[in-house]
Amino acid sequence: MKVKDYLLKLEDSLMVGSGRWLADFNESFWDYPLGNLVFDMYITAKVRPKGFFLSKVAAWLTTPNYYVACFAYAGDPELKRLQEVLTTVSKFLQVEEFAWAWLVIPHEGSFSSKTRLTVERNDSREIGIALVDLHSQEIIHASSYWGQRMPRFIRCFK
Amino acid sequence: MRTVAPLQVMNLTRSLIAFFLVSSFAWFAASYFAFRNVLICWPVFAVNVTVTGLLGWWWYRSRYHAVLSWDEQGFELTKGRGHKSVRKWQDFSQVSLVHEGYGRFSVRLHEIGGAYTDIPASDLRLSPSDFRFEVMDLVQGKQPADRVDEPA
Repeated sequence: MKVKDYLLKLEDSLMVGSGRWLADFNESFWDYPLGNLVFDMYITAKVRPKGFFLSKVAAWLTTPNYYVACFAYAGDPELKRLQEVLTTVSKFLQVEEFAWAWLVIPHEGSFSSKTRLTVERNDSREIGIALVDLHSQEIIHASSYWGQRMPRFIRCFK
Repeated sequence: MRTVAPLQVMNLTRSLIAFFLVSSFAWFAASYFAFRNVLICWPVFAVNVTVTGLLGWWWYRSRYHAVLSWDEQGFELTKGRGHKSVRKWQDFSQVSLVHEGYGRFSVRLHEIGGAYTDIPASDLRLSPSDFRFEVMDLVQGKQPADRVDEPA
């Protein structure tokens, strides 16, 4: 599977598929420039869902209204610029007042063991990271709370 | 220049249902006020359906019906009667795909100042994702066919 095909499936999964159980992912940008980087895809979401009158009242009473995001960055499978990417996303979260974000790093091939360890050990509270090997369809995710929640929503290879 | 202006079945159905309910309740109220009874019979139903059809069609044409024409320079979007937007692709800096709920998508064109214009891709029966990539190319000043990584 090509990176672009995967990102199209990921976009579909988040906007109209299983992602709706987590947040209302409603706007998707491709080739999104942020800082010195250009993210392959960026999808923004609100945690409070849409709906008709009763659903809106229920959501207003029970769900906090904050924004979240999912970034995809395929340009650095070796994670040589990981710190820069994380800093850029973190700054974005602060400036735009987003609560948390996912960072998906798809790659048409396997990741090095050093790269896998780097991600597995990441315990950022506001950014969940996952590596997606598109050949073996393996997902390596961070140990943080948002990292552990990612595989269910980003496993969209079919 | 390409032009699309399909019949939007969902919006037309919405208009027809709304006017059927409105005309039904109006008849119930009028007949009760005039005769102290709610008269329901086939001629009344036929008139109700005719009125619904006429008003629903008029409402759909004046409120929802969209016509989009576009070429390499810009686009012209007409929504209903009197809502015409003629813009150039160069007026915009970013393009996004927006899910409006129930599987309906729009392509959103962002200006540098923060304003945006929505093109209702699903209502126009365009493939939202493919049309988004085409618009991205046009906004960036490229010919759509220039993209080498277009999905199959």
